[in-house]
Amino acid sequence: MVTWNPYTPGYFDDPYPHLKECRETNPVQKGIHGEWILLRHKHVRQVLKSDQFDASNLSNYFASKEKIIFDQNACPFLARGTRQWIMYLNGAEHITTSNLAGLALRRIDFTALIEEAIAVCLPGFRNIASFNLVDLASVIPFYLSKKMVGFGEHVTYEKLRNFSYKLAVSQDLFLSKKDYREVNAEFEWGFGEFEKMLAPGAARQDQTLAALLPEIDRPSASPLAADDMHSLLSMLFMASFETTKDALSIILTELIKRPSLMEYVIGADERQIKVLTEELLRVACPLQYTVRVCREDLELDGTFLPAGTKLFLGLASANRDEEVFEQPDEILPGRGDNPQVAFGGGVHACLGARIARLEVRTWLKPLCRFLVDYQVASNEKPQWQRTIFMRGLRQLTIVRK
Amino acid sequence: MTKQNVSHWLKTKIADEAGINEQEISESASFETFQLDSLDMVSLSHELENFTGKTIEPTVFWEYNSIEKLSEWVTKNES
Repeated sequence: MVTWNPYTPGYFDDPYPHLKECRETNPVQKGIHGEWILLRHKHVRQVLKSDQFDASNLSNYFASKEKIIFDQNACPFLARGTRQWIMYLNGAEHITTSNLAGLALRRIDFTALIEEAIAVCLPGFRNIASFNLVDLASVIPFYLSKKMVGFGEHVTYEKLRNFSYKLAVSQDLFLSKKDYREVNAEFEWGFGEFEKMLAPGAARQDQTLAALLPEIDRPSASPLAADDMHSLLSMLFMASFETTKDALSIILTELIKRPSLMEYVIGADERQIKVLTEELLRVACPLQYTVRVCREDLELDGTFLPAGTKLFLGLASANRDEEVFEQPDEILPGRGDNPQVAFGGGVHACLGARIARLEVRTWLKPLCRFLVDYQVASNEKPQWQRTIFMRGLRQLTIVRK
Repeated sequence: MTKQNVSHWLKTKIADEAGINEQEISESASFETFQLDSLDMVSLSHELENFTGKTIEPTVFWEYNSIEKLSEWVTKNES
């Protein structure tokens, strides 16, 4: 019986051997904080699709912890900053806010923006003999996410990248008070920026969330208060940039190791690209876990779970479950039936899934045409983020052949 | 670093975090006894890492859940 422990040696470099052992010997297990960890596809999918579970409310968690994290004179932004993060809302509040964000996103021409992002960013790498693959995987979604939200030119890449990373990390496990204070500082900065962007009379580009969100009526709900609007914008930027950067960094790491797969992409038709995109998202799965809470007492695979029990759903583990996927650790470009759960599922399925799929489908060919002339630098091993809920690459130097 | 060094350091820190006297802290009592929040324990693991200069994963506070067990693990693991 293997106990799930993300600090198992080697986990951050490659979590899949440990997840496989857990899945095979102890697929429904209790964690050290009393939560239950589900690692099989059938259980993860069952919970995702069911309406018997709520999302775990991050903002309420922060509200209960702010006294511990901060001294009396601090100005806490953690609960305020996450109050409108759609993935942690439930019931009517979830429906209202996700509808608002969904309407705003549908008014943006992502087809054009996705093509523009790669057309603008890729030429910058053409004359470089050696670079960090993460930079390539970052600048393209960064260009898109910055334009989507409507940040001004004065906001730098480094600043926004740090803002996004810290916000993403705020959802992770085993953070110290110091970590949370750093997240708080980023929220404070972000709220200041959003306040300036949304101020009456401030110049706002059309087709940006900063322009669109305040214009959309919310049926049967009052307009979002300023803090709530800042919280929603923070989440939309972080979710758009961070998950795409992480997914792309993992996908490009897999591709650069497989020149024949890059050739396949270059020669693939539209349908083949669609099928391969699902397969790459299955393997990449940047959001490795998501959390649900039992609304009522229930039994799952012979385990009694009282109301209020927290469940960690192992999305990445489910995507490698050999009961569902043949050769789960291999990338099979033509994998037909692919019930991958990288975007979660049910009422809390990822709001940006359509956009993320379009990004990967659009960017795959131009990236492969470019990367086919590169290889991993000799003796270079990928360095991974030390994060549990999100998986992303930190560094992989590639060189021109 | 001796086991006594580590257990003294833990006692001082736990007393400070939990707002109790060091004399009230039993080395064999589980960390949960001191009403420490999980955030306190994670933060202590980072500080212990700085104090000892060795890698301390936050989960060790749950695996070795008393001053006695943890200080023993830290010093054994060191040698």
